[in-house]
Amino acid sequence: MTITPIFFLAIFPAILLLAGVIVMLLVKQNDGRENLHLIISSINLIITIMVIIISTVFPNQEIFFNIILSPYHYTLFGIIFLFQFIFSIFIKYTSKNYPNSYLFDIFSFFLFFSLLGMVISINYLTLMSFYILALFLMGMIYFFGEFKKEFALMKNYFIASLVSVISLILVSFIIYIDTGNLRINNLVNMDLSDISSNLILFLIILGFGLPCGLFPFYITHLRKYFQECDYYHLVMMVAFNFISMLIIMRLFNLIGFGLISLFIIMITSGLGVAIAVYYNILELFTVQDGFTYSVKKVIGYNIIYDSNLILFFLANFNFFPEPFRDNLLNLLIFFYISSIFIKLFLIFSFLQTANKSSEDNFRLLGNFWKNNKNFGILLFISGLALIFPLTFIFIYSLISNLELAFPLLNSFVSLISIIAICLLIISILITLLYISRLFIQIYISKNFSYLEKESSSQINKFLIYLISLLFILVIIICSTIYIYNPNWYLGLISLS
Amino acid sequence: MNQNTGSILNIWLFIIFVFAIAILIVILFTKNEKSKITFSIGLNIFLILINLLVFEFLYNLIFLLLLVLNLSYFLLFILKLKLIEGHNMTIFIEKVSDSAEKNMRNDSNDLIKNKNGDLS
Repeated sequence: MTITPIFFLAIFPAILLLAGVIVMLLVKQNDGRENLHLIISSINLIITIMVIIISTVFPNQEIFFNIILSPYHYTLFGIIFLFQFIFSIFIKYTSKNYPNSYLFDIFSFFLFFSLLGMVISINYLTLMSFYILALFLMGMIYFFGEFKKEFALMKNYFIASLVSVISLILVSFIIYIDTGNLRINNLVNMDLSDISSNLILFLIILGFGLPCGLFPFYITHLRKYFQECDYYHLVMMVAFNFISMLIIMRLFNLIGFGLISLFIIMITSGLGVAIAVYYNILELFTVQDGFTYSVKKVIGYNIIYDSNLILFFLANFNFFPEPFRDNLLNLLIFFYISSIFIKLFLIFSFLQTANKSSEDNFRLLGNFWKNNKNFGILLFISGLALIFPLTFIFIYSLISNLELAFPLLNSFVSLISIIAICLLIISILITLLYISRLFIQIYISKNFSYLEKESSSQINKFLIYLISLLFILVIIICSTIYIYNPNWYLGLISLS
Repeated sequence: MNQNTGSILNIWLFIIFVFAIAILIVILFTKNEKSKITFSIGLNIFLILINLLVFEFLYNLIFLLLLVLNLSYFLLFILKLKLIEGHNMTIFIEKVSDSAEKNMRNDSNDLIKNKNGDLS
């Protein structure tokens, strides 16, 4: 157990979040919360960027009880705090003070704390504790928005959470009985039997994936969540989905795949993708889903689509021969992280819409171009950034690897690769389709009938430029790391 | 020596476990709603930190189950019993379309009954 000053600097944001929880719990104050969120998230982000810079100069790995910290974990901290920063901006401009809003603040700080815990835990049961905490808080936080909501809206979510908790506890028993140890970083050396490894993989998808949409039938418990949530809930759901996906990737990478698990993943994520496509198109063009035309639902389904697609690719790439496998997994994680940033940018571009009105139906919104060109341009840029550099780099690298690897693959894996590429193209087309539809409806169309908020505040232009610059920088840094530092991204899903 | 250290550690863990159970009982039986919320969130923080430091399967599992129990109770208490009534701006009803459809069906059934002369 060797601890350096960087360790204390790195965990300071986590302590700050916990202090935020305790202070809010004792003070129980509802005023001035918007600035508190912004201050804490800014401090966290700045400290983490400092830690990342220091750790690139002096790379060091530190293990402290059930925690592991390395430059990769600091990077993940940075991503989580970027989520928190966007979250706090939405709180500042779209959320008012209301009775008991201090409980929302407590839950949100605690939720980000548990996301940090999920990233750095090396004991399976510690990881589970953080995950279960995040899972319940994700459900609870939904009820503490501007509007009062009925408990029945999230009944299915909590049933799914219960199934998830039971399956995760079963996994812990299977791992402990099979290996006598619950250290995640030791799983790579353990010889798990075929049946138990397949069972574990299935239960992990069910446990970590079911509540956040990485398992089909999410439509039953997440549809209401997306429809009735606020934008800051959506940001939180993206963060939760991203971290859960990362944990699944990490565990799969350590346990390894069998042919049966490939089938399981193909069926679950394939169905997940198909359902998301169906509902996205329904939401955009038809009245089948209750005349909602909801912006948040479209974005939510698309994020779930992405995660399912990444899971599909992950299973597929694991069957490639060795040099290609690592290259493609590296490429996949780069693609996933960059696309998450772009989706976050996309959500941020709706800040002005959320500030002006509580309306979510994009057919009722309109004529925003006149006074809010900046946000229209941001929405447009998020679509462009998806095509270049992200999709360009992904397809270019994928084809250059497939060209050499294809003769070495068996026909089944080749078939899955082709299906996965088709799904990817459909995914990008659908994203571009809804971005253009939302752009035309919200910014170009003159027809609107939304109810304007009485107290919409003026958004600071400096903040808009700062966020835009931050996102462009992040995308450039991600692409540069991928091009000049091969296999860096693989470190994010391994615990070494 | 090692055995002694191990047993002392277990005794400490057992004391922590009893302490956690005691707090949980206080949460269950206290009448003050604000104290209920404070103790419940405090216990969550306590359990999560203990689980971060302990490395024994049995105690990890016990603390995890206590966490689940506490969270479930908190969830039911806060949300199901509708303790939070402050921000009463809009109430979303889950199945508007279903109930509306049911009413329409009932209405049409009544119409058919009326048409057939059955006014009961």
